[in-house]
Amino acid sequence: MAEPLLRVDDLNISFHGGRSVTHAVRGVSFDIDREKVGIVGESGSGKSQTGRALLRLTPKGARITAKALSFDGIDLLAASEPDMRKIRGKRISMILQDPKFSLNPLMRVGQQIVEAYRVHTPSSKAEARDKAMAMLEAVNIRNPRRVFELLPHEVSGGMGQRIMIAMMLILEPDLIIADEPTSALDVTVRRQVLTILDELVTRRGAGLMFISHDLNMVADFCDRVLVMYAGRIVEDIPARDLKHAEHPYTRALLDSLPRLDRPVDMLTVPKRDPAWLTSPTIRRASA
Amino acid sequence: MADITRPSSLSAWLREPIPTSSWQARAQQLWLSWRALRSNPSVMFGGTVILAVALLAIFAPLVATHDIYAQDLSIRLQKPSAAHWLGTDELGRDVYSRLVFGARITLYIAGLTAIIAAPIGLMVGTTAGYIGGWVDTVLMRIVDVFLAFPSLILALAFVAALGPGIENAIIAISLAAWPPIARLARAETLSIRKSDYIAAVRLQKASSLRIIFNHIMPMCIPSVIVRVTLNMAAIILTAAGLGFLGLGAQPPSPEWGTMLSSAREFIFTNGTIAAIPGTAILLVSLAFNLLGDGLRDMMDPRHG
Amino acid sequence: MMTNPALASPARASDRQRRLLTLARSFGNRAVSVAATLLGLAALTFFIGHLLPLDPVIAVLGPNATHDAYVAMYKQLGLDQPLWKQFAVYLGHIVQFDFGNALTTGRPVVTDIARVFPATLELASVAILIGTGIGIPAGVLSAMYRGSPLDHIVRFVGLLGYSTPHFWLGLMGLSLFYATLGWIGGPGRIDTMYELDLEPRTGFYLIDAALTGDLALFKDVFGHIVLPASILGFTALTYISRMTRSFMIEQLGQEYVVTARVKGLSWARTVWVHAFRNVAVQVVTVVALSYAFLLEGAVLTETVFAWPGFGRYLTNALLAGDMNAVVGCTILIGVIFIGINIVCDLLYRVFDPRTR
Repeated sequence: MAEPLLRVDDLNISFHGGRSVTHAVRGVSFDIDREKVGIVGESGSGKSQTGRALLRLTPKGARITAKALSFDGIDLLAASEPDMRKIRGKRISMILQDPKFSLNPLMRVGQQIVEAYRVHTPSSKAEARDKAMAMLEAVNIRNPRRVFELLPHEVSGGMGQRIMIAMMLILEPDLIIADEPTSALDVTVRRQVLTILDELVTRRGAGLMFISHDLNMVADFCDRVLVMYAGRIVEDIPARDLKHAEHPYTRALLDSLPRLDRPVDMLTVPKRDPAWLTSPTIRRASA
Repeated sequence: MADITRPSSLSAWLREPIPTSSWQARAQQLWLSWRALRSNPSVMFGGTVILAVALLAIFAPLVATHDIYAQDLSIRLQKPSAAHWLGTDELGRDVYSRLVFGARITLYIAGLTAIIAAPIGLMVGTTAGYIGGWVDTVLMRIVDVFLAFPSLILALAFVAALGPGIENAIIAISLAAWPPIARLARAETLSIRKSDYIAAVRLQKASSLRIIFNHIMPMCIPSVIVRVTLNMAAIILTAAGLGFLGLGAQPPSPEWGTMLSSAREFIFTNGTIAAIPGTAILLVSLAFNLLGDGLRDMMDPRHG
Repeated sequence: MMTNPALASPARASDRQRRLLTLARSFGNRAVSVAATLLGLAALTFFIGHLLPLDPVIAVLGPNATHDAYVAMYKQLGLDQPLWKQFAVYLGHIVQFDFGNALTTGRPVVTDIARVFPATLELASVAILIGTGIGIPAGVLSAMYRGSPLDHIVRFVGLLGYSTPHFWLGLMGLSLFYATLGWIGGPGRIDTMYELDLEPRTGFYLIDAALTGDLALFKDVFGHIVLPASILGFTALTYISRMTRSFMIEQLGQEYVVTARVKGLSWARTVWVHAFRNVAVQVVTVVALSYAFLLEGAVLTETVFAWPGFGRYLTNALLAGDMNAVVGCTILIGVIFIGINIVCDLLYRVFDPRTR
C-alpha cells in the first residue's frame, strides 16, 4: 500500500506551566490520505491542538513528541522553521473558526488573499489580484470586485468564512485542516459553506482534516471519523459504519443526539468511564 | 464524614481541606495569600527593601551615628570614611545620619498622602459609579478638571498658593493623587453594581450608603491598593521634586529632595553628595514599583 | 471599477445620513464636555489664586502704602465685588488670554510665555524623537520575543525609568559629562560667546544654527541640548516602550496572527505588517500623551540645566509668588493637556474603522 499523505504515530502534546503538566494529546495515531477525515470530540479533548501541531503552531510552552509525524515524506517534527514556512499555506493550510477574529481587521479582505498568494509565488501585484478575484468567484461570492475592497467587519459570517477558504485554498495545498469551520456561523449558512469546501477539496483531490464537536455534521460530511476523548483517539471508524460503533463513548455520543425517527422521552447523558482514559483505540478499516 | 481529629501542628491546621470555623477559614486565606506573595520575586524584593527602609526610619535615632543638625565647617565635603560612612555635606553634617532621618520624612509624606488620597478617591469613585446620574456627571467633571494637569504642575500650583512647607506639600500632592484613584474606583464599581449579589442586597432594602460601604468598597480595595502602591513611586518623586525646588520640606530638614537642592551647587566639585540622596530616592521608588507590579500580576490572572 | 447600483440606493443614503447625525451629536457632546472641563479649570485656578496668603494689594503697592491708596487699589483690583462677579471678570480676561502682568518682568504674562515657549518646545520635540525612535522598536521587540533576555532588559530599563528622579539624573549627567569629561556644553542653550552669532528665526536653536552654516555654532548648540533632551527622551522612552509592549502583547494573542502564520509568513513579518498596524493608532496617541508628560518633566529639567524655557519660567514665578504668571502658565498647561486628549480621541475615531 502506498504511503498515506499524512502519518501521525504516537503524537504527544504536553503543556508545562509552573509546577503542573497538562497532557493535552496522549499517544494519538492516525493516517490521512486524500480523503475527508473528521475529528470529533468535546472541548478539551485535544482535537484543536492536534491540528496545530501539524503546522507546528502550538502555543508557547507546548512540547510535541511523536514516533512519526510525516507529511508526503517530510518529517514535520525535524523540519526547520524556514522549511515549515514553505509548507504552511502552500502544502498544508488551516481554516480557522471565526472570521470576525481570524481576519486582520484593518486590512482589506482581498489584500489578505493576495498576501497568501504572494508569500509563496513570485508574481506581480496584478497577477496576484486576478488570482484572488478568481478564488473569490470559486467560493461563490457574486460580486468579487466589491468584496475585494471590503474590511472584515463589513462582511457577514458566511462570507467571511468563504473568504477564509479562498485564502487558504488559493495555493491548492494537499492537506487542509479545518478547525471548527462552521461553529461560528448561523445554522442556515453552514450548509452553503460546507458545500463549497467539499467541492473545492474534491476538485483538487486534497486531504481534509475536519475538526468539530458536531458528530452529525462530521458523519454526514466526512469519509472517516476519529472520536477523541481526553487527549486520545477512542475510535477510528468509516462514517457510514458509525451506527455500528463499538466504543461506549461513541455510542453515548450517538445516543445523546435527538433523532426524528427514534424519538425518546429523555436523551441520555454520556456517563464517563475512567477506563476510557487508557483503553486502546478501536479501529475499523474502511471496507 | 471526615474524621475530625485535632490537627497536630499549625501547618497541618492551615492545610486542612475543610475549615471548621470561620476563623480557621480566614487564617487559611491569609496563609494562602502569603504563599502567593512569597512566590513572586518582585513582591519579595520590593517588599523587603521597603521593610528595611521602614525599619531604618523607625529606628533612626538608634541607627544614626551623628546629630543631623550639627555643623562642622572644618570637615565639609569629605568623602566616605570610617567616621562618616557616607561622607559629609557642604556644612560638615554627616550624610548617612541625614539620609536615615530623611527616610522618615519620605515615608511620612508617602504614607500620609496615601491615607488622605485613597479614601477620598475611593469614596468619590464608588459614589459616582453606584449612584450614577447627575451625581456621577458632576463628580467626574471635577475629577476631569484635576486630571487636566500633570500632577507635578498641580502640586506646584497648590504649594505656591499655600506656601512652602512639608504639610502644604502633602496636601498639594494628595490633591493631585486622588483623581486617578476615583476613576479606578468608579470603573470597578460600574462592573460590580450589575452583579446579582448587589441586586440581592438591594432587595433586602439596604440603603445605598450601606451597599456602597459594605459591599462595593471592599471589592474595589484590592485594585486600589495596587494602584496606590504603584503611585507611591510617583508621589515620592514628586515630593523630591518639590523639595528640590525648595517648595517642600525646608532646609535644614534632611528630606532627600532638599538635600539634593543644596548639593546642587557642589556637583561640579563633589559628585557624591548629590549621588547619595538620589540613589536613595531611586531605590525606594524602585521598590514600590516592583511591589506594585508584583501585586498587580498576582491579582490579574493573565500574568502579564 | 464598476459602480454597484446597490450602493446608491436610498437605504444606503439614509444610513449615511444617520451616521453623520450620530457623529455630529457625539461631537456636540464632546464640545460641551470640553467646555465644562475648561470652565472647571478656570475655577480651579481662580481658587488657587485666591488661596494665596499674599495680599494682592500689597503686592502691587508695596508694604508702605497709605490707607487711602490701599482702599483705592482695592477697588481698582475689583476685590470689593462679590466672589462670583470677580470670577466672571476673571473668565472674561482668560478668554482673551489676558493673564495680567508678570511681577518679575512687568510685561504681560502672555508675551512672556510666547517668548519662553519655543525653547521648551524644541527640547520636548527632540526628546520625543528619541523617545519614539528607541521606545517603539523596543516595545515591539520586547513583545515579539516575550520572555527573552531582551524583553527582561527592556522591562527593567523601563522600571528604572519610572523610578528615577529625572532632575537628579540631569545633575549626575552634568557632573559626569560636563564637569568631569567636558564632552558636552554646560547649562543653558548656548555658550555666551556664540550667542550673538545666532539669529533667532524659528526659535529652534538647532534649526537656526543649521541655517547659519556655522559648524562650530551648531556643535555648541547641539552639545547644550543633547543631555537635557536625552534625559527627557529617556522619560518618554520608558513610557512609550511599556505601552507599546502592552498593546503588542494584546494583539499577538489574536487569531489573525495565527492566520498570518498559517499562510507561511515569518514571525517578523507577522508582527510588523499585521500586528503593528493594529496598534498604530494607540501608539500615536501614547506619543501625543507623552508630549504632555514632557511638559511636566521640563519643569524640573529646565531648572537643572538653566534652560530658558517655559518650565523655568513657571518655577521662578512660583518661587517669587507671582500668581499672575503661575495661573497663566497653569491654565496654558491645562489647555494643552485637554487639547492633546481631544486630538487623541479624534485620531481613534478617524483611524479605527471599527469605532464608527
